[in-house]
Amino acid sequence: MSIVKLFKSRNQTGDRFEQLVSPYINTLYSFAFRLCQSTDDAEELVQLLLTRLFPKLEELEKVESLRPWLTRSLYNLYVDSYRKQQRTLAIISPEEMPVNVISTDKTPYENIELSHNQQVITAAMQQLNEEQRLVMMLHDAEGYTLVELADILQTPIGTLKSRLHRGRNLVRELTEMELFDD
Amino acid sequence: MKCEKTQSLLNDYIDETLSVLHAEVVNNHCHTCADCARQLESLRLQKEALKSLPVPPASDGFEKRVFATAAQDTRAAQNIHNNQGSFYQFATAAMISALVLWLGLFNDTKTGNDDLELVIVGEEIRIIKVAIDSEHALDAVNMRVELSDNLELKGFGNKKQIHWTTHLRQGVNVISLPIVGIAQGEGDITTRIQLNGKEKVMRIKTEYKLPDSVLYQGSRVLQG
Repeated sequence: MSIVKLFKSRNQTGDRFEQLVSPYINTLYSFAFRLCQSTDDAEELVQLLLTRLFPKLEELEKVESLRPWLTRSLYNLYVDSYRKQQRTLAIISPEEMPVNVISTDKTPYENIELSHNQQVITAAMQQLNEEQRLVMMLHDAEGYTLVELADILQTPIGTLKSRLHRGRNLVRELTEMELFDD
Repeated sequence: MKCEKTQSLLNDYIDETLSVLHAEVVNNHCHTCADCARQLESLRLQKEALKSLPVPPASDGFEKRVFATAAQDTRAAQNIHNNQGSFYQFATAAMISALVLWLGLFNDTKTGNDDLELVIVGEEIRIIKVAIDSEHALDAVNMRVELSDNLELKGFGNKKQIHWTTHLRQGVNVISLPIVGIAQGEGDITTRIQLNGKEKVMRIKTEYKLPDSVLYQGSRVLQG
């Protein structure tokens, strides 16, 4: 293959890939942010996903419903690469590698304005376990239904519902006296 | 309906997943019970606040960059698989620098000196992500991070050498290193991965400068 043809072919692949995935970039970034609670990590996770998917363009083009497929892939990548790695780093060698090596002490919302209730609730949600926080973020903040989440997270609806209700009730107990109509 | 039963239905009530009959019973109870009404209102406010909880915007040029990098990384990965043991670099988010190292079978000893130059400005924390893509799970791998005198790893104070033993799983392993500058000038960050007396090295040159908009923009260009 000539260099010109190779160049064109690469560009065409890039264009096709971008055309296919671009409509979902915002969805993927939002989803990743809800998972990671960090803009840097969300960008990194989306980057990692796209880098993994780019060579699989032909398979991707055969997927019928791309949005749930992509979000499920993103979640799997989060579990396989990001979350496991964060845990591994935290336990590698406590005396040499403290947990704060993976934290920059930034709050995820420090550069944007939140309402009083949003500040109170996001602070209270730090008390939840990750499973409860995730389902609350994806269901209540991101708007996914439990049916969609059951598919994406590969978890039974009943389990998700239980996590959602427990999480909300815990946040309610923590914040009841501090919430008011904005 | 008793309070306990009503309260067990409040979440379904605000999600509008109750039958009409049950919803009406909950509604009527809350009109006569201040405690349940307060819990209902609290859940409603909570859900409302989360529904409008914004997502901070991605960094400038994210979408363009993410596609360009995916294509670029794929080509680089193809080159690496044709020439195992080399190193390559890519940059992603504006504030993140990432290096990727393919470990392969770890059957060679090489020292790489990457050209990536990291500019740290003022008091910012630059997060270096070292991604190690290992073909196999590896046990007892020694990791060493060495910093020049003018840099610190956040959380480690004056410590310039950090080492630990870990296992690498098959696939991508990522280490996040939050780097801060403490004195102006050039420096470097060296990551060493050692196994059975063999070693792979990645080195990033750094320059720590006082805030300056032109230089800062320059660093972003470097990352882009």
